[in-house]
Amino acid sequence: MNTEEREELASLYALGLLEGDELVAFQLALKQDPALEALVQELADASNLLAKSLPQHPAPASLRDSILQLAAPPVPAPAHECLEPISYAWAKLVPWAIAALLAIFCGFLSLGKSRSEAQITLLTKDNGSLQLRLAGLESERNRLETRVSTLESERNDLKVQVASLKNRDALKEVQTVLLAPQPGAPTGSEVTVLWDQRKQAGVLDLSKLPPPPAEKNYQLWVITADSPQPVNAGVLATDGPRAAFRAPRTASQVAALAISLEPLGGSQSPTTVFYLGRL
Amino acid sequence: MSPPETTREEIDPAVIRRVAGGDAQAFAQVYDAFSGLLFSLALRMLQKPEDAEELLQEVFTKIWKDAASYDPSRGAPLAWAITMTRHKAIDRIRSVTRRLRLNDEAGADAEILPPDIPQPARAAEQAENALAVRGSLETLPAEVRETLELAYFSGLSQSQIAEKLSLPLTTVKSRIRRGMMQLRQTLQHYA
Repeated sequence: MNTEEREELASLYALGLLEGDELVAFQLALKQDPALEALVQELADASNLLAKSLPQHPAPASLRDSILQLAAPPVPAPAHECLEPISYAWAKLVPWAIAALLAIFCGFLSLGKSRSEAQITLLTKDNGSLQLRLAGLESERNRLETRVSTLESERNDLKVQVASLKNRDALKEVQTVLLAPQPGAPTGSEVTVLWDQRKQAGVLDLSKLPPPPAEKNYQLWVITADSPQPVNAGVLATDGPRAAFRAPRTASQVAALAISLEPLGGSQSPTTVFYLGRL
Repeated sequence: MSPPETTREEIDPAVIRRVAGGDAQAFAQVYDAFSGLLFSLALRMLQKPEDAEELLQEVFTKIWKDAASYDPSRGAPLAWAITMTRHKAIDRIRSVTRRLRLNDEAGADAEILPPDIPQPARAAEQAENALAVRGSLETLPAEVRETLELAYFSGLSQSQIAEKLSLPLTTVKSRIRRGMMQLRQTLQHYA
């Protein structure tokens, strides 16, 4: 690059007219050539003489105000002017307010701590008392369990007693009736009957009844209050000391029992009554 | 040839540092020193006063916000401000030119209207505070001065200048070189 080329490129560069590859190449040369850089700086300054040669047109006065407004400090709003001193006063009080709040808070904490300690003491005492009460309750529970056990045992005994009493009542329903010998009956003979009115059944004691004559049977009869005729209760088997019997269903309200001597196999109605007893 | 009056508009770099520190008084000082020249430059390049006002507002906003970016080793504060103003103006010119070209390509009646370049002689007559510089420029051949002013004020590229002047590109480059070297001599003379 000769001198003319350097000056030409430097002039164009100083005016911002270099473009494309020329611009890139010149910028590289600038970095390596301080003299070239100095030349460019001189030419740039020189080019400004063109601006300085212009006839001067003062900028509008309003423009000055507008532009200098950029640097003006922000004007506080009227409301701010009134509020600012108050805000400042408040600002000064803020640390004291915070300190006061902290003091109050600490007081509350201290009071709370004392109360908590007192409550802990009370609760400890209560706990001891409750432990004693619990031990007492445990003892009471054991005692009651023993009592319950005793009562259970007593109840079982009572159940047994009740059952016994019920049996006793059942025996109460049984009555012993002597069937008295009637005229014609063997001397010294008698028949006793155990009669259960509720069950309408009974047992005959035949130990004192002599066997019937040959071709004869003893026949049992039930006499009821509502029937004029005795009701057949069956031929007695005399091969044993006792004979059980049950009143016929047709016989209600049994009032008396009778035994007659009848032909073998029995009769429809009694022929000769030997024994008779009222219930 | 008397010395140029540019010294009247210069300020100390320390003032720019104060602006960077948020000194409103320093900012007002910078405005009072630079606004006339910068507004004139903007008006010369953009042609319309309202555009020039907008541009000046942009430039001083940037000075206020970016004063810390000013590097004294790269030139005086005024040179920094002039360069900033010129670059912003060129951006605007090229943006408008692009829009007009698009309209033209779309069949609109718009016509690419490069900024009207006033006659250097007439401009110089009106610039009482730049007589010395004007005097120096007047020593340049008219064709060189015209080419140089197109290169500086119009925002046109080399090829656009060549087209506008109906000259070969090499001739345009040569004229620019001659004019810039002459200005450099003038600057060195008054330094």
